[in-house]
Amino acid sequence: MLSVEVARFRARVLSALRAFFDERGYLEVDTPVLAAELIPEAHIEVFATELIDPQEPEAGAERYLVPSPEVWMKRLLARGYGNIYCLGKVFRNSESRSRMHRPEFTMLEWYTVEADAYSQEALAGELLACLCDRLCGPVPGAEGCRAVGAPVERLTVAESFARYARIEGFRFGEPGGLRRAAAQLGLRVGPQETDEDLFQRILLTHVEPRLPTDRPVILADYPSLVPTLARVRGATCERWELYLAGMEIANCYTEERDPARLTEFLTHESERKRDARVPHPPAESLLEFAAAPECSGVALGVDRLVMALLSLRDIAGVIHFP
Amino acid sequence: MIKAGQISKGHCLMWKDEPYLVADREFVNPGKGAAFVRVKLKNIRTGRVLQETIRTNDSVEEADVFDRDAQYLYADDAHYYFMDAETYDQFAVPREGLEDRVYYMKEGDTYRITMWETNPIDVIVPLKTVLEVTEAEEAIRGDTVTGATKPVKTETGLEVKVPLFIKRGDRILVNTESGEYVERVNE
Repeated sequence: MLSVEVARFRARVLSALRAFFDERGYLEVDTPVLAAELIPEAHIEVFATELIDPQEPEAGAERYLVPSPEVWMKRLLARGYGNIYCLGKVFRNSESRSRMHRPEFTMLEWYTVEADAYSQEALAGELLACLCDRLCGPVPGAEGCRAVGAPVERLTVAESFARYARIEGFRFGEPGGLRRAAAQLGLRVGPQETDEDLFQRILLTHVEPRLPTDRPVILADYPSLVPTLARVRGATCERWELYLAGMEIANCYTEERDPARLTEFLTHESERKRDARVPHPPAESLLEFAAAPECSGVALGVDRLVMALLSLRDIAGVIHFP
Repeated sequence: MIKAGQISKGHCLMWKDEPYLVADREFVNPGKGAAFVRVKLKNIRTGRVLQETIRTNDSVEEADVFDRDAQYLYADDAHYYFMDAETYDQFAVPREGLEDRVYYMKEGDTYRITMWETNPIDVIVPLKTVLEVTEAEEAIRGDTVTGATKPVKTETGLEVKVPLFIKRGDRILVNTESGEYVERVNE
């Protein structure tokens, strides 16, 4: 349960996040939580509800709770809004309530124009240092605060496989490479297992639990075999994830703007989406995004950020109604 | 067969043809990617511990286990000793992997032991149990901050954070999974 002290601290984190982006000229956009169409993402189950029109009570129209404000924010970027951020609730269905997760959580998402994932690393580091400056005081768990403000350790995902899973000379894109790595680590490999599954299992079993917890860690250059809207550079893509206290906190892309690639992603994920419990129409208008300036977006889980700052191990300790 | 998403702590699985006890289980949902369970598996025969990550949709085979009720006698550094409630046979259960049970068991009480063939592999304690507070500092007077806590020690040696009004000799309900205080028990 959330104590009053933690509730106050949480509110200060929200203020500090807003202040950071306001001071840098980012526009806060409070985008809708209900959407008629979403970016199809094969692994995300959504919440569906129905819009009731009193004039046409029979013609119920499906609406979905957004799993991220991305679908709205990308349209605003295409309209020329420039740098924007959104701080609000997002919803992911069919994900277990666990120590680190709730189906509803608070997300900060920001986009910087004329930027790529690499330049956003610096901004993320600045944000963490700034939070540490503003929030570190005589609060319980101050060592968490210091760890958040420590210099960021940056390595590529391939380097993390070598350092933490001890797979020397690992490179993405080599045929059979992940299968060999999994075998070397003694993982049970099923015949139907895809490279994407193997990649996630190695990362989740042998890398993530061993990441340093006394400083922020950025894992960069994710393999492009995990389909995303990040710009692809051969076997890897311009994507990073930020870890605090061993928890996945934020995800960043250089946003893909090539219309052919966007179409390919929509088609591929829509097909995989057929197995979803709740299918939903893809955001066709995402293709408008090809008209946006070069930009990069970061999505950051705020509840986990508060956990890291306070060195708390359970998300129930940082939300008002766990 | 069960779905990996249904695995929980204390389950017994066959994995690579060996029997394993699930010592720990955590759900992980990578921001981009399928949902997984990360498990710590303890080999029932060898005691070797293994980390694995399995897609929640994948199927896993359960090991053929059974339960027996037994009275808890005492513990030494390496084992817990029990007596079977029906046959009065005494047997030992290795503490390894079950280290926290020492805080939730009381000598003379009966617990359920999970067995695989002739190997005891788990001791089931109730989700919540009543423990007596044996060491507690007096609360500082005037400290009325809502939600303030202090550490106390129970009869089993467990350290728990409790509200300031808890005194030595009080009986408190404790969650045996999280080790956290639930409420004071009034009798």
